[in-house]
Amino acid sequence: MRKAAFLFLGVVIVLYCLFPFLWTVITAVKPPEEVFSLPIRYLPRSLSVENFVDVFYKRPFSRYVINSLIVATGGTILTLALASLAAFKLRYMPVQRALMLQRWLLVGAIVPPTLLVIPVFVVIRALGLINNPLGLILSYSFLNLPFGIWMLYAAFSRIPRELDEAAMIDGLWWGGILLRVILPLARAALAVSAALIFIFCWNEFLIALTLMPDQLHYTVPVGISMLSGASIYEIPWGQINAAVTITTVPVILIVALLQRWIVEGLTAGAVKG
Amino acid sequence: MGGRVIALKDVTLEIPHGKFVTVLGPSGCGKSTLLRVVAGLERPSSGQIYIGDRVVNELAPGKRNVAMVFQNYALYPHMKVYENIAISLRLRGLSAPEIRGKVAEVAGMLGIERLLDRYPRQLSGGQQQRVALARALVREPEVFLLDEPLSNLDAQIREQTRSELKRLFKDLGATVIYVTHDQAEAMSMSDIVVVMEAGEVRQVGTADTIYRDPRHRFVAEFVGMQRINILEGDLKDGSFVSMDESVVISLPTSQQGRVSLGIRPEAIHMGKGMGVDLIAEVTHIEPLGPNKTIFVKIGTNELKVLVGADFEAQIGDTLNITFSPKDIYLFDAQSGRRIYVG
Repeated sequence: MRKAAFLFLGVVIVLYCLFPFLWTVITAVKPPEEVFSLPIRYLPRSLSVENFVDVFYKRPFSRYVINSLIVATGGTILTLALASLAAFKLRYMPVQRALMLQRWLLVGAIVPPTLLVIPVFVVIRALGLINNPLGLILSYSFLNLPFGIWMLYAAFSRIPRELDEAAMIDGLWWGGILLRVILPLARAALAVSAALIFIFCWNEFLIALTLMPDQLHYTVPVGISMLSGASIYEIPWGQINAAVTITTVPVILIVALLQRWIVEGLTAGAVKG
Repeated sequence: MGGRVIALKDVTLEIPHGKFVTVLGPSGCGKSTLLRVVAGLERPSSGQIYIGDRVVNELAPGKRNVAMVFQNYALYPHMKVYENIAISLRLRGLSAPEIRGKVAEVAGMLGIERLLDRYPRQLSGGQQQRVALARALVREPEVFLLDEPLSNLDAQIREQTRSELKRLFKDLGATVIYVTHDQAEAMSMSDIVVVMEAGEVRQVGTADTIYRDPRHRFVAEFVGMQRINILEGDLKDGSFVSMDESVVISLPTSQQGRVSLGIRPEAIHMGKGMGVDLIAEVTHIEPLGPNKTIFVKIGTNELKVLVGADFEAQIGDTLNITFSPKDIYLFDAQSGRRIYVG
């Protein structure tokens, strides 16, 4: 009885959380004329791929997806590369000093990105990187570095120092120690950080809109916000929902792919072993 | 920030080629630091390190041609045993068949052929220790550095490994610097023992010399199955007089001043007539299997006496004890240095 109640509560909570997403998917697969039918149809009478086809054929949506993939992948890789170097250096500092630096990094992570839009824009413009994916990649790694360093330092500092020393005696230089010893041992933390940073870059809207005003360079969230109908009074809800549905696919894929590591990374150190 | 700690003070030490040298001392005496300086993991603030006739101060650890076995083995957890052993050879650019041959040879020597395909976490402590050793051996270094390699093993395996290690390094004719706080290890394995205290070398010599002829009070106290008896007192007018004046021993010396007198428990015998005769009261008895330790009191001075297991005594008994003046060590109370008499 108690178990059944627990299960029921679980299902309700899951449905409540998933409802907006389910509604998005349902709207996306409805034939366009059914979207506003009254009374509301919770399940479509027939499934239609028309909205998906329209998004890709009537709009440059594939272009947006490619832009987003470039920016998110680049941002993630650059962030993790810089964060590994920083966390590796912190590992060799006296703990007190490393922790103090970390606390300052946390301050950087707390500042809302919205506040930084204008300074970031000024810097990127000065670098001549407006409408250049590199500008967005640089901005994203700048915003995510504190988080990345934090995650990786926590993981690195659990690795015994003797391993570095054994590696030094075996003839590895510091880059080799980082690549062949430390990073493989911190792979859980790397996976978690990669997933979270990728999702941040993938979903980010405001900076992408600011730094990439040219339609050719829209990322997915910006592209979706710019979808419009034949007139400004017509909003193509079906297409928008189809686009949103497509957008979530890589995020789900990444989480599914890295799930094992993410769980390990989030619980690391919780239990001795 | 905290003050600077001097871990090593003016250490001058020559390790002869092909010898098994043990650095012995309590934790914090600087013995591990000494090893790490030789390995290149720690930079000395002054002085020179030679390996062969090369000054290696400026060389990275990987270029010194040394191999080190760490106390916790420091095996790479994400690499199989084979990779753990092979990595240094790979980095030196050896060909794959050469690497396979060398790894197989070393694995055969240590009996770990069947473990090559496992990860370190799948091995017992003793097996991990062998892998760590294999990783050192495979490099054929000029010097082996071993940092308490046996201290994480069970007592039984430890003793067995002790004799195996000794034989192995003897057969290889290797130069070994072995750090330990366990004097039994030091005495049983090494050609030369270096006793360290507080960052300074107190004595260098064979196990036998260190035991029979300690040059410093610390050496006398640290080495020996049973801790040496120390009586504090003064030298005056050709005699040692204990602080409470209950022990007076005449010695052929004209020196004066505060001293510590050392006499080993195994040098004291029951009865009379060995040169120094004393009367003592039994306070405590500790059976040790083949032996017994009898704790006795003379005035306020406590002494331990090692006797055979068949010796019978009761707490409160009064005993005659005797020892030869030749077995007495005198140490300067201030510096701890040995004072020779006679």
